[in-house]
Amino acid sequence: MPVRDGPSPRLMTHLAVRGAMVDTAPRARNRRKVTDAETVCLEATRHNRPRQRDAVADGLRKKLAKGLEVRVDRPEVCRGEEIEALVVVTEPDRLGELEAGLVCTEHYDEEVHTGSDSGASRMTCKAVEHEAWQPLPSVAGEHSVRLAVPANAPFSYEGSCLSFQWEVVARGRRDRKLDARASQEISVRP
Amino acid sequence: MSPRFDLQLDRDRYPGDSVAGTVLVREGGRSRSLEVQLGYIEETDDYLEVATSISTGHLHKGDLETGASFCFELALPPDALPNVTSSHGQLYWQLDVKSDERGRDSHELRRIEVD
Repeated sequence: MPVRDGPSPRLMTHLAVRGAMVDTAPRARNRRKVTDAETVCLEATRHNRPRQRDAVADGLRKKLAKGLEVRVDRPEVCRGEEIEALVVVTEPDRLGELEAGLVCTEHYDEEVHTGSDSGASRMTCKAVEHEAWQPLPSVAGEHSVRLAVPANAPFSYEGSCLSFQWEVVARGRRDRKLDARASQEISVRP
Repeated sequence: MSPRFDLQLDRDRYPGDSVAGTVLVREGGRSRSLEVQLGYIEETDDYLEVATSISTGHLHKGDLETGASFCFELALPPDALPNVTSSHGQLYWQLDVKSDERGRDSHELRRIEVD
């Protein structure tokens, strides 16, 4: 009976998705548990189309956000300050439970090993670094919200291997369906 | 033999003006030149990039003798960003005392806080 030296590539992929170790090569710096955000990244690697997958999901959320809009008149704010935004709701019935929030997304480069012989590749992954939400009434109209930027949070930054992007987001949460999502990018200064 | 250094700074935190200090040669050795670089570093678990770098230029040329010291001062950019740490990376300022040598260079690294 043939003896296998290690787990099969198929099992390694399964373990990766379940949050287990994925790296079969001795690479001490990268040997650690895979987080949820990285699982998204790994799954994207398997399909080799990460940006397209993100774009498709974002496009669907925007399409679902018909009747939901975010307006920020002064899209620049310093850390520790509040930003004022207007959420315009015209079709509340189809949007579900409404919320407005401030979201900081971290984009970071990572070396990804999939356990096959193809070696490593450089991937840009993303994860939510900060988010704070407040409920909105599910009625048509203009809802004014004030959202606070924590003083010790990252500031807006676009770098080579690390970036931070801030958005004011309005979302409609619907049971077992993709959220509707409207957003406007803002600049958070140090 | 590669030289080794002690880096003495005038302060722990810098409110966005200049960074001054002294490089003390703890162990002398072969060197082509000595300089101090101040860099704004982007770092993730797997990658490191220097976003901005400011150099003193050559503080000294030639071999370094034990006990020698070199003062330096580097001006921070007026729009210098502060250090920040996130879940998957960090941005920070770092001083790099670099001795250019045949083969592998010697470095003494020190992270500094910029407000």
